[in-house]
Amino acid sequence: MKTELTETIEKVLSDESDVRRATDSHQTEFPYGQDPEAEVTRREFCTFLFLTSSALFVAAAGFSAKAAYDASVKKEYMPAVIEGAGSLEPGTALNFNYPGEHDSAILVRSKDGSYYAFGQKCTHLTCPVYYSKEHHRLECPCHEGAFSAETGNVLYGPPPRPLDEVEIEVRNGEVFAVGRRVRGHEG
Amino acid sequence: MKASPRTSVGYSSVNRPQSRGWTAVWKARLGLLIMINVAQLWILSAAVEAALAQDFGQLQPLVISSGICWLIALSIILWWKPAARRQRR
Repeated sequence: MKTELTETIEKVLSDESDVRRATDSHQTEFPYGQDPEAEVTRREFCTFLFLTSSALFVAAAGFSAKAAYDASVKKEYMPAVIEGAGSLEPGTALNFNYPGEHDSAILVRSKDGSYYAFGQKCTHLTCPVYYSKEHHRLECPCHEGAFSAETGNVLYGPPPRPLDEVEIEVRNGEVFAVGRRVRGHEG
Repeated sequence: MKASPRTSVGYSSVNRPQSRGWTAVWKARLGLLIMINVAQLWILSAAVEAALAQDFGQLQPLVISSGICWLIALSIILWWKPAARRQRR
Protein backbone atom coordinates (compact mmCIF):
# COMPACT_ATOMS: atom_id res chain seq x y z
CA MET A 1 0.00 0.00 0.00
CA LYS A 2 2.77 2.28 0.98
CA THR A 3 4.68 1.35 -2.14
CA GLU A 4 1.77 2.29 -4.45
CA LEU A 5 1.29 5.58 -2.69
CA THR A 6 4.94 6.39 -2.98
CA GLU A 7 4.98 5.53 -6.66
CA THR A 8 1.97 7.73 -7.30
CA ILE A 9 3.48 10.68 -5.47
CA GLU A 10 6.76 10.32 -7.29
CA LYS A 11 4.98 10.10 -10.62
CA VAL A 12 2.86 13.18 -10.00
CA LEU A 13 5.76 15.25 -8.84
CA SER A 14 8.42 14.29 -11.31
CA ASP A 15 7.08 12.38 -14.27
CA GLU A 16 5.39 14.19 -17.13
CA SER A 17 5.07 11.18 -19.33
CA ASP A 18 1.29 11.15 -19.22
CA VAL A 19 0.96 14.83 -20.10
CA ARG A 20 -0.73 15.04 -23.49
CA ARG A 21 1.79 15.78 -26.17
CA ALA A 22 1.13 18.10 -29.11
CA THR A 23 1.07 15.52 -31.82
CA ASP A 24 -1.58 16.87 -34.20
CA SER A 25 -0.53 19.09 -37.10
CA HIS A 26 -2.54 22.06 -35.86
CA GLN A 27 -0.82 21.88 -32.48
CA THR A 28 2.68 22.29 -33.79
CA GLU A 29 4.27 25.64 -33.36
CA PHE A 30 4.75 26.35 -37.08
CA PRO A 31 2.36 24.09 -39.01
CA TYR A 32 3.66 24.83 -42.49
CA GLY A 33 4.12 21.20 -43.46
CA GLN A 34 2.49 20.01 -46.68
CA ASP A 35 0.94 16.67 -47.41
CA PRO A 36 2.89 14.68 -49.97
CA GLU A 37 -0.32 14.18 -51.95
CA ALA A 38 -0.66 17.94 -52.45
CA GLU A 39 2.70 18.25 -54.14
CA VAL A 40 2.66 18.59 -57.92
CA THR A 41 5.32 16.86 -59.95
CA ARG A 42 6.84 18.37 -63.06
CA ARG A 43 5.13 15.75 -65.19
CA GLU A 44 1.71 16.60 -63.74
CA PHE A 45 2.33 20.31 -64.26
CA CYS A 46 3.33 19.71 -67.88
CA THR A 47 0.15 17.70 -68.41
CA PHE A 48 -1.87 20.50 -66.85
CA LEU A 49 -0.28 23.04 -69.19
CA PHE A 50 -1.04 20.84 -72.17
CA LEU A 51 -4.67 20.48 -71.10
CA THR A 52 -4.86 24.26 -70.72
CA SER A 53 -3.49 24.63 -74.24
CA SER A 54 -6.15 22.22 -75.51
CA ALA A 55 -8.90 24.16 -73.74
CA LEU A 56 -7.71 27.47 -75.18
CA PHE A 57 -7.65 26.02 -78.69
CA VAL A 58 -11.15 24.57 -78.30
CA ALA A 59 -12.41 27.91 -76.98
CA ALA A 60 -10.96 29.86 -79.92
CA ALA A 61 -12.37 27.38 -82.42
CA GLY A 62 -15.73 27.35 -80.64
CA PHE A 63 -16.09 31.11 -80.65
CA SER A 64 -15.22 31.22 -84.33
CA ALA A 65 -17.61 28.42 -85.22
CA LYS A 66 -20.42 30.05 -83.25
CA ALA A 67 -19.85 33.41 -84.94
CA ALA A 68 -19.70 31.81 -88.40
CA TYR A 69 -22.87 29.80 -87.73
CA ASP A 70 -24.78 32.83 -86.48
CA ALA A 71 -23.75 34.81 -89.53
CA SER A 72 -24.76 32.04 -91.94
CA VAL A 73 -28.28 31.57 -90.53
CA LYS A 74 -30.82 33.61 -92.45
CA LYS A 75 -33.60 34.90 -90.25
CA GLU A 76 -37.17 35.62 -91.17
CA TYR A 77 -38.33 38.93 -89.81
CA MET A 78 -41.92 39.76 -88.98
CA PRO A 79 -43.01 43.41 -89.01
CA ALA A 80 -43.48 44.79 -85.51
CA VAL A 81 -44.77 48.16 -84.45
CA ILE A 82 -42.43 50.27 -82.33
CA GLU A 83 -44.61 51.54 -79.55
CA GLY A 84 -44.15 55.16 -78.65
CA ALA A 85 -42.31 56.01 -81.86
CA GLY A 86 -45.13 58.15 -83.19
CA SER A 87 -44.91 60.55 -80.28
CA LEU A 88 -41.11 60.69 -80.35
CA GLU A 89 -39.92 64.28 -80.48
CA PRO A 90 -37.27 65.29 -83.05
CA GLY A 91 -33.73 65.07 -81.69
CA THR A 92 -34.52 62.25 -79.27
CA ALA A 93 -34.19 58.48 -79.24
CA LEU A 94 -36.12 55.45 -78.08
CA ASN A 95 -34.94 51.97 -77.12
CA PHE A 96 -36.84 48.93 -78.31
CA ASN A 97 -36.26 45.23 -78.95
CA TYR A 98 -36.32 43.71 -82.39
CA PRO A 99 -36.67 41.00 -83.67
CA GLY A 100 -36.40 39.16 -80.33
CA GLU A 101 -36.70 40.29 -76.76
CA HIS A 102 -32.94 40.14 -76.32
CA ASP A 103 -32.08 42.02 -79.53
CA SER A 104 -31.90 45.56 -78.27
CA ALA A 105 -32.15 48.40 -80.78
CA ILE A 106 -32.36 52.15 -80.75
CA LEU A 107 -34.65 54.39 -82.77
CA VAL A 108 -33.45 57.91 -83.48
CA ARG A 109 -35.63 60.71 -84.76
CA SER A 110 -33.54 63.41 -86.33
CA LYS A 111 -34.35 67.09 -86.19
CA ASP A 112 -35.97 67.01 -89.63
CA GLY A 113 -38.42 64.38 -88.38
CA SER A 114 -37.08 61.28 -90.17
CA TYR A 115 -36.47 58.00 -88.35
CA TYR A 116 -33.33 55.88 -88.19
CA ALA A 117 -32.97 52.61 -86.28
CA PHE A 118 -29.91 50.57 -85.42
CA GLY A 119 -28.89 47.67 -83.25
CA GLN A 120 -27.82 48.93 -79.88
CA LYS A 121 -24.80 46.66 -79.51
CA CYS A 122 -21.51 48.34 -80.31
CA THR A 123 -19.64 46.40 -82.98
CA HIS A 124 -16.46 46.53 -80.94
CA LEU A 125 -17.30 44.57 -77.78
CA THR A 126 -21.14 44.72 -77.74
CA CYS A 127 -21.52 47.46 -75.16
CA PRO A 128 -24.86 49.28 -75.56
CA VAL A 129 -24.62 52.56 -77.44
CA TYR A 130 -26.70 55.59 -76.47
CA TYR A 131 -27.88 58.65 -78.34
CA SER A 132 -26.01 61.87 -77.69
CA LYS A 133 -28.46 64.68 -78.35
CA GLU A 134 -25.72 67.29 -78.05
CA HIS A 135 -23.57 65.79 -80.80
CA HIS A 136 -26.36 64.01 -82.68
CA ARG A 137 -24.52 60.71 -82.78
CA LEU A 138 -24.57 57.30 -81.15
CA GLU A 139 -21.78 56.91 -78.62
CA CYS A 140 -20.31 53.88 -76.91
CA PRO A 141 -19.20 54.68 -73.36
CA CYS A 142 -16.99 51.62 -72.96
CA HIS A 143 -14.16 52.48 -75.35
CA GLU A 144 -15.22 55.87 -76.66
CA GLY A 145 -16.46 54.83 -80.06
CA ALA A 146 -19.07 56.81 -81.97
CA PHE A 147 -21.44 56.14 -84.85
CA SER A 148 -23.42 58.40 -87.12
CA ALA A 149 -27.01 58.71 -85.96
CA GLU A 150 -28.24 58.72 -89.55
CA THR A 151 -26.14 56.04 -91.22
CA GLY A 152 -24.71 54.01 -88.32
CA ASN A 153 -21.23 54.32 -89.80
CA VAL A 154 -18.24 54.54 -87.52
CA LEU A 155 -17.19 58.12 -86.84
CA TYR A 156 -14.23 57.34 -84.62
CA GLY A 157 -12.99 54.86 -82.05
CA PRO A 158 -12.26 51.15 -82.08
CA PRO A 159 -15.48 49.73 -83.63
CA PRO A 160 -14.47 47.87 -86.81
CA ARG A 161 -17.79 48.10 -88.69
CA PRO A 162 -21.08 50.01 -88.71
CA LEU A 163 -23.97 49.26 -86.39
CA ASP A 164 -26.54 46.68 -87.46
CA GLU A 165 -29.28 48.41 -89.36
CA VAL A 166 -32.92 47.95 -88.39
CA GLU A 167 -35.12 48.54 -91.41
CA ILE A 168 -38.21 50.58 -90.61
CA GLU A 169 -41.34 51.68 -92.39
CA VAL A 170 -43.84 54.37 -91.46
CA ARG A 171 -47.45 53.23 -91.98
CA ASN A 172 -50.34 55.50 -91.05
CA GLY A 173 -48.26 57.42 -88.57
CA GLU A 174 -46.93 54.30 -86.86
CA VAL A 175 -43.34 53.16 -87.16
CA PHE A 176 -42.75 49.48 -87.94
CA ALA A 177 -39.52 47.53 -87.74
CA VAL A 178 -39.49 45.16 -90.71
CA GLY A 179 -35.97 43.73 -90.84
CA ARG A 180 -32.51 43.74 -89.42
CA ARG A 181 -29.32 43.75 -91.44
CA VAL A 182 -25.78 43.03 -90.33
CA ARG A 183 -23.33 45.19 -92.21
CA GLY A 184 -19.76 44.33 -92.93
CA HIS A 185 -16.65 46.37 -93.29
CA GLU A 186 -17.75 48.35 -96.31
CA GLY A 187 -18.14 51.43 -94.05
CA MET B 1 58.24 25.20 -54.40
CA LYS B 2 55.88 23.49 -56.76
CA ALA B 3 52.47 24.75 -57.54
CA SER B 4 49.90 22.03 -57.09
CA PRO B 5 47.53 21.59 -60.00
CA ARG B 6 44.07 22.95 -59.31
CA THR B 7 41.29 20.45 -59.39
CA SER B 8 38.03 21.35 -61.00
CA VAL B 9 35.10 21.75 -58.67
CA GLY B 10 32.54 21.38 -61.46
CA TYR B 11 31.19 18.25 -63.03
CA SER B 12 33.26 16.61 -65.71
CA SER B 13 31.65 14.77 -68.56
CA VAL B 14 32.42 11.49 -66.83
CA ASN B 15 31.01 12.01 -63.37
CA ARG B 16 28.20 14.41 -64.20
CA PRO B 17 24.94 12.99 -62.85
CA GLN B 18 22.35 12.03 -65.43
CA SER B 19 19.59 13.90 -63.59
CA ARG B 20 21.34 17.22 -64.27
CA GLY B 21 20.57 17.01 -67.99
CA TRP B 22 17.04 15.80 -67.38
CA THR B 23 16.32 18.77 -65.15
CA ALA B 24 17.39 21.14 -67.91
CA VAL B 25 15.15 19.37 -70.40
CA TRP B 26 12.22 19.45 -67.99
CA LYS B 27 12.72 23.16 -67.39
CA ALA B 28 12.86 23.78 -71.13
CA ARG B 29 9.63 21.85 -71.63
CA LEU B 30 7.90 23.78 -68.87
CA GLY B 31 9.13 27.09 -70.23
CA LEU B 32 7.95 26.33 -73.74
CA LEU B 33 4.55 25.14 -72.55
CA ILE B 34 4.05 28.26 -70.47
CA MET B 35 4.99 30.49 -73.41
CA ILE B 36 2.57 28.59 -75.65
CA ASN B 37 -0.20 29.04 -73.07
CA VAL B 38 0.43 32.78 -72.90
CA ALA B 39 0.38 33.04 -76.70
CA GLN B 40 -2.85 31.07 -76.87
CA LEU B 41 -4.45 33.31 -74.26
CA TRP B 42 -3.63 36.32 -76.41
CA ILE B 43 -4.97 34.54 -79.50
CA LEU B 44 -8.19 33.65 -77.69
CA SER B 45 -8.79 37.24 -76.61
CA ALA B 46 -8.20 38.43 -80.18
CA ALA B 47 -10.51 35.69 -81.51
CA VAL B 48 -13.30 36.70 -79.12
CA GLU B 49 -12.96 40.31 -80.18
CA ALA B 50 -12.99 39.35 -83.87
CA ALA B 51 -15.98 37.04 -83.35
CA LEU B 52 -17.98 39.77 -81.64
CA ALA B 53 -17.13 42.13 -84.49
CA GLN B 54 -17.90 39.35 -87.02
CA ASP B 55 -14.54 39.97 -88.63
CA PHE B 56 -14.09 36.60 -90.30
CA GLY B 57 -10.97 37.70 -92.14
CA GLN B 58 -9.15 37.70 -88.81
CA LEU B 59 -10.88 34.73 -87.22
CA GLN B 60 -9.52 32.04 -89.52
CA PRO B 61 -5.80 32.82 -89.10
CA LEU B 62 -6.29 33.18 -85.36
CA VAL B 63 -7.84 29.73 -85.06
CA ILE B 64 -5.10 28.24 -87.24
CA SER B 65 -2.46 29.90 -85.07
CA SER B 66 -4.04 28.50 -81.94
CA GLY B 67 -4.11 25.06 -83.57
CA ILE B 68 -0.41 25.29 -84.43
CA CYS B 69 0.35 26.23 -80.82
CA TRP B 70 -1.64 23.23 -79.66
CA LEU B 71 0.26 20.93 -82.02
CA ILE B 72 3.57 22.24 -80.69
CA ALA B 73 2.37 21.60 -77.13
CA LEU B 74 1.32 18.09 -78.14
CA SER B 75 4.71 17.40 -79.67
CA ILE B 76 6.41 18.67 -76.51
CA ILE B 77 4.34 16.34 -74.37
CA LEU B 78 4.72 13.30 -76.61
CA TRP B 79 8.19 13.51 -78.11
CA TRP B 80 10.38 16.12 -76.50
CA LYS B 81 11.85 13.99 -73.72
CA PRO B 82 15.36 13.43 -72.39
CA ALA B 83 17.26 11.15 -74.77
CA ALA B 84 18.32 8.63 -72.13
CA ARG B 85 14.80 8.29 -70.83
CA ARG B 86 13.46 7.87 -74.33
CA GLN B 87 15.94 5.08 -75.06
CA ARG B 88 15.15 3.35 -71.80
CA ARG B 89 11.46 3.06 -72.64
